[in-house]
Amino acid sequence: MIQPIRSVVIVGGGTAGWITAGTVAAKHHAYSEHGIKVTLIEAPDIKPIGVGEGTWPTMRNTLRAMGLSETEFIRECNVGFKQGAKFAKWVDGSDDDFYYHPLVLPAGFLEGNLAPYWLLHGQGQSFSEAVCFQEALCEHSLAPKLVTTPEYEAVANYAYHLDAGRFSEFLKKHCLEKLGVTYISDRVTKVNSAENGDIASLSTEQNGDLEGDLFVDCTGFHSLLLGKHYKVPFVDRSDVLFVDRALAVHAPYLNENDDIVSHTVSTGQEAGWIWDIGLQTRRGVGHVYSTRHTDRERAEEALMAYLEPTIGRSVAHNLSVREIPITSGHRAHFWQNNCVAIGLSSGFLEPLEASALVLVELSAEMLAEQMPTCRQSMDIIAKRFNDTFRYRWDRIIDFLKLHYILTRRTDNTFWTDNQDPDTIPDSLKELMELWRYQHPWDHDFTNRREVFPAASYQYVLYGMGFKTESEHIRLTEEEIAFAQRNMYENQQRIRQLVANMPTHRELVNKIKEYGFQKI
Amino acid sequence: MSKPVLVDSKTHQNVRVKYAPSVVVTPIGRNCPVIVQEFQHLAAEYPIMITKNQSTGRFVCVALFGFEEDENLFIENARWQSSYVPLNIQRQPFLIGNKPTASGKDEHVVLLDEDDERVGTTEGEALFNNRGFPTPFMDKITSILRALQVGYEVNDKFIQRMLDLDLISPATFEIKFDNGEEREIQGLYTINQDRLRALDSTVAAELHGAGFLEPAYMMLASLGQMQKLIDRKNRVLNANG
Repeated sequence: MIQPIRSVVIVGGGTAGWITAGTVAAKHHAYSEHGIKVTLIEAPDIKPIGVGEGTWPTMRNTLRAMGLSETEFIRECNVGFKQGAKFAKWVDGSDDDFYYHPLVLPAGFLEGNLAPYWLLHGQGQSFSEAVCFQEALCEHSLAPKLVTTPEYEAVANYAYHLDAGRFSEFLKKHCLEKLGVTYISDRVTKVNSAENGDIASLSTEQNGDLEGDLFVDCTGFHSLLLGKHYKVPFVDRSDVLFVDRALAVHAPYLNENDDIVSHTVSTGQEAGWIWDIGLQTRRGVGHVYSTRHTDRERAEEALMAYLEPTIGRSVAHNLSVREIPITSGHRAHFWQNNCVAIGLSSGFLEPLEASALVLVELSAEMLAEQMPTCRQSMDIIAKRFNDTFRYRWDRIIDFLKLHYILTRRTDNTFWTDNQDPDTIPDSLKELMELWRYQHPWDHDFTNRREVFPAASYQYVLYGMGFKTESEHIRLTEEEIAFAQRNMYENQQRIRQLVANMPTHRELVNKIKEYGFQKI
Repeated sequence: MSKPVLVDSKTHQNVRVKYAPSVVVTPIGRNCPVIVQEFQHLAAEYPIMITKNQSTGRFVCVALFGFEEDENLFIENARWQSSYVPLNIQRQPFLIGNKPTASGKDEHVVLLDEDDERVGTTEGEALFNNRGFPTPFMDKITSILRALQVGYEVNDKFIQRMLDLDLISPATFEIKFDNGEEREIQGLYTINQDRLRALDSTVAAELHGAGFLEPAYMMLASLGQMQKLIDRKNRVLNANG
């Protein structure tokens, strides 16, 4: 007897739960009798953890696919634009030490590689400055688009900074009013198994037993279904990534119309780093650090020292500081029987490259696109899902580790320990060996499950001051002309955009007043 | 920078305006905002398009005069070479202003750009007669401004209804001029003809009742003027070449 998948039950209503609900409901027409029924159950008194306030550009498609208006999203979720990340004090810790990982690809990237030419002849300028115009927009706090640019379209590729709490509420409203998602506010008291080990139903306090064909665990660190019920082991990766604690604050702007920084600023500290993101009405700032290398008191002092120059001593010291434990790692697998974990229930890493929300989006997308039609085909899809996401977690861990291994900082063993070869995954060691002799390029990342493009590795490697051996590399006249043309045009584009783009704050104010058009 | 002032029978008792709409005094760029009520006149001369206001991103209806930012192919020797000049040009050097009233609601008033070279005291049309009453000329100006005021409100409703029905689409023109130059004209929108034709009859009847069906078709008809605009451009290029 074929057992069709007619109903998906999502447990947990943070951003992971609602992104999953919205993505599945939109794709599978939850509002229709012939669609897949989507139910989300959320305990009434659980506060979402509220981490994950930075996105990838993928979020634009995720929101569009759910049928959301970008104007409303920006107005209601305190959204600021994010045009990449600025890494300060990661190379040697000096005051003028910084590099960018912008979201716009290097000039001409789809036709050729500028890295070889830049390494040989471009030394007056940083890599990101020489090949990409976005750093200039960021340095001037300019917007990535105009008020005349249609919703979700860009002049310069962009992502968002958002208020996670408001984002959940915003998605919830849309899921319930427009997408036909059923909502139950209740506590799950028991998981009831079927004979084959599947979850047959969830017992609740007030709504009886909730049946479903597929269950999604979005219960955050509790990992109620995958971790507690199925006891899928947690793979601890703190041997690679040392950060295990965060101290987070919401910092006010001193004036309502202060510039909004249009990128994430990540500033290296003694034993970790500080994130700084700009929303419309506040900044989100946090210090993530390794408790093996420093203690809470010193970490909090560092956070205050970071905040004081912008908001003053008394304001900084009166902020309420939230402490969040981080265990870097992920479950051994993510889909077991008829249960799949999405979000913190599947794992968590330090927020260095905003991997939390993008993993939620990628998981929800794959679940929606490859939704098994029936129980009989589910195990095959589950295996594929597990292979894909295990691959993705490994690649993300490699990429995060890359940020640490090229540092010249020696002020704390946090930095020197990070360079210990025993802490570097073999897959990353192999790539580093390769890149000693040749420049990162697309063929290093041919897997369709890839998360970071070769461009991202170029930005971080060359931003950190890495040198690919170039003495033996010969460039043809054509390659030289290609590089010179693209780098020249990039400088032209910088001048033109810096002269014409509105500031980030001006654009946000215009969106509040007029909004974007859809076309 | 000119600073328009409120028109007043005392202040402007002796003021005269050398009024000739077809004579161009202030520079006019490649388009100007137009209102639904004048579409019929416009469609015989210019492409009527929708574009975005650069500072608000909102859609506005415009008549198109050229391809480059400051290009106006209808002006030769400082005169309009067309039989109909848009109301938004005809109103010059007057304009509409808003004056707050006691009730809290703005009142529309007539302003005059006194720095405009057409404004003086010796030549042209008087604004007020000896007894301080508006002259027929002033009445005409007032009625143009009132038509524009009402027209912008109708425009907004027209555009909103078109947007709600998903009837506005980007219109991209790939143009090749006689000198070999190829240009892709972006940032223009028009009515989507296929979707307009496919409208359900009750919706079409509702649009007709609201007076929106006719301007939608007139916009489409005016697209025929695009080729004439290209011809004008080619004439200029050939004359200069």
